[in-house]
Formats: sequence, C-alpha cells, structure tokens
Amino acid sequence: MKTKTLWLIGLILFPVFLSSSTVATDQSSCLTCHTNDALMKMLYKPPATGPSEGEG
Amino acid sequence: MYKGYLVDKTLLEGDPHLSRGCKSCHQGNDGGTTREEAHRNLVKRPSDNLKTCAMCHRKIVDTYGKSLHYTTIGQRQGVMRRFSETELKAFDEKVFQQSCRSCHASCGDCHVRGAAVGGISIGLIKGHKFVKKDEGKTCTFCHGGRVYPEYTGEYGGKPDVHYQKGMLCMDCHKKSDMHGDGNTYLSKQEVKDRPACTNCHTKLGQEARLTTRTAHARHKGKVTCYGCHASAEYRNCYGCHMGTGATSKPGFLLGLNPRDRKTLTTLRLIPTVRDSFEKAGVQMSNFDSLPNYWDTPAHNIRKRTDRTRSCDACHTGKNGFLTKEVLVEQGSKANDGLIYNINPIPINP
Repeated sequence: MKTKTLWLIGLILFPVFLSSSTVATDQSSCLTCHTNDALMKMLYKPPATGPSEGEG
Repeated sequence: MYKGYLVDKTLLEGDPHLSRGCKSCHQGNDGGTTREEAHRNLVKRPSDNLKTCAMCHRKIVDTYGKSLHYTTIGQRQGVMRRFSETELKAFDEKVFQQSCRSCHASCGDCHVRGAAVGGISIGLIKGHKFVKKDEGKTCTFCHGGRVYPEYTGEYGGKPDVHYQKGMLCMDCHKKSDMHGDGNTYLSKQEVKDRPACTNCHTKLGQEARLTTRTAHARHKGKVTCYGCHASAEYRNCYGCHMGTGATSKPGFLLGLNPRDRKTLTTLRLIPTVRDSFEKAGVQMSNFDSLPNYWDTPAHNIRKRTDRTRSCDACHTGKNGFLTKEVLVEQGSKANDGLIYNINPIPINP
C-alpha cells in the first residue's frame, strides 16, 4: 500500500518535473547566447551590405 | 553591432511579451547546440505576420494593416502613372513586391528593433524591451536619408526650430498617423488629420509685427509655410537605378506644387529617371506624365530666413526659384509646368 502510494505520487509529480525542466530549457537555450555579451560577440557575423534602400 | 542582439535579462521577470518564451514568436530550434542549428526555421521578424501581435493588440493591428507604413502603397501610387497597364503589372511583380514593399514596417520595426536598411540594423532598441517610441532609433533609420538629418541640422544649415525646442517626430506625426485610422489611403496626402503647421500655429493674422501680418495675409493660399520658412538646402537625389541606387547633392527649389499647379512651395527632386527599372525589364512609356519634382515639407524650418527678412529675396533676386536652366537633364516634360515666373512687387504711386 505504501509502495503503491509512493508510485502514485511519483507518477503525478513526474510530468510536473518534466514540464518545468522543459520551460527551463526553452528559456536557457536561446538566452544562453542572447544574454551573454562575450558569446554574442564571438558568434556575431556582420551582414553583407548591398546598395542602399530606404524612403529617405 | 553584436550588442543589438543582446536581450536584457531583467526584462524576463516582468515583461508579459517575454513570458511565453522565445520560441512562441521566433520559432527556431531551441534544442540546437550551434548557432546554425538553433536558428533553423527561425522567424526573424515575427510581427511581420500581424496575427502575432493581434493576439493582444487586436484593435491596433486592425487599423495598422491598412496604414501606409504597412502597405507602402504610397510608393506605388507615386510612380504608377508613368507606366502603361502592362508595364505596371511587370513593375508590381518585379519591382514593387521585391524592393519597394520591403520598406514596410512591422510592429517590431518601431517597437522592438531598429528597421534594417540596406541590410544594416542597430538590432534591438533596448534589449528586447517593447518600447512605445524611440524616434532616434526607428524613424531615423528609414527616414534618415533626407528628413531626419535635415531636421537635426546634421545635413548642414541650422536645425529645425522644432527640433531645437525638443520636439521629435511623434510630436507632430501622431500615433494615429502611424497606426492608421482604419481607412485605406493611397498616399499620405489623403490622410485625414495629417500634420499641418496650423494645427499649432493658430494665431495667423494676430502677429505683433505689421510686416508679418501683411506677409501672411498676402501669401495665404498662394505660398506654403515652407516656401518662406524652409531655411536651408535639403538633399535632392539624382539618377536612381535598380541595383545601384542614386547620387545626391544639396539644393533648394521653389516652384509650383505639382499637385495643384497654383501654390508656390519647396520642391524636391525625386530620382526616378527614364531607365530606372530597366534592369528588371520594365519601361516607363508614360514617363513624361509626371514631373521629377514633388512638393516637399522641408524639415528645416526657421522663423527668420532670407525670404522672411526681405521680399526682394524672391521678388527681385528670385533666389532658389526653379528655372529651365536648373531642370534635371533628360527630365520629364512635365517639369516645365512647375516653373513660376515671379514678378517684382508693384509700387503704387
């Protein structure tokens, strides 16, 4: 009975743990680079320039 | 320039736009371990699709979708009479959609990230904060070839007096001008409640000086405010060709407004030439139906200019008046109709 209760609690808590880690991954993977000055400087590629456009 | 892609960490806590996570707007591959992998299927400008912002800002998006900043239809409208029906179709396909239309502003171009011009952008305005306005980092990028540097004095000459008084673009060009008012206009001239000097300067006819009252009364309906109060030369562009752009030089031109052919105003040379779109295989068989000069609201206004100091600057000296000699070479035949032959002021015995 005790074992079954523990399994049930674990089963309920597991998706919660999974979803929170998913959110953390979502926030951290993009933001790992985009909040890091040194990393961004290293990864940045200047765009190729073309003839100027714009209404002026 | 890499700093333009740095997100301000402190925004993550409080900004509701960021609470949904990056992927909700930008897609991409958040499991990627390299730049290329992470950016696979990335949506750089999510607000290009107005539905993105419409989730919360429905009312604004409904009007913005019809605004000139979004449709950019004014650019097409300004040139279309030069084309035959077949040429116009080709222009729409090969030029307008590919090139002119790229100037349309998404929500993010004004509120999140400076617009890219010629592939260059300052990136995020304030670390991905959603700003209400920041003219120096938004308007100035698209309108920085002509209007903005003339306004600030950077182009030469004195700054516009309104700039000196601390006014920026949005002080005259209101939110409804940017977001639209729900009407679909074909050009900025049609916009209801567009900026006008008399919106603020309401006391015409009540000036303290008699000469000022007289000048305003005599010229009302005949000369625009710019005709007397534009203070310096402004940028005029020459010879625009697809793929190579145009050249420019300063100039000051007074002539008849091509839109009514009776009001004297400041004119600016528009760089469309007979073979502007030749690279795309598009001709302009009706090129001469439109002039090469259009009325320009020169953004270098001063109270006192050469023309306000002395009537002779115009009536005798004819300073800055468009003449046959200064007309652009191989220009439109319609340009002749903009020349105004000003007369000296008659002296009553």
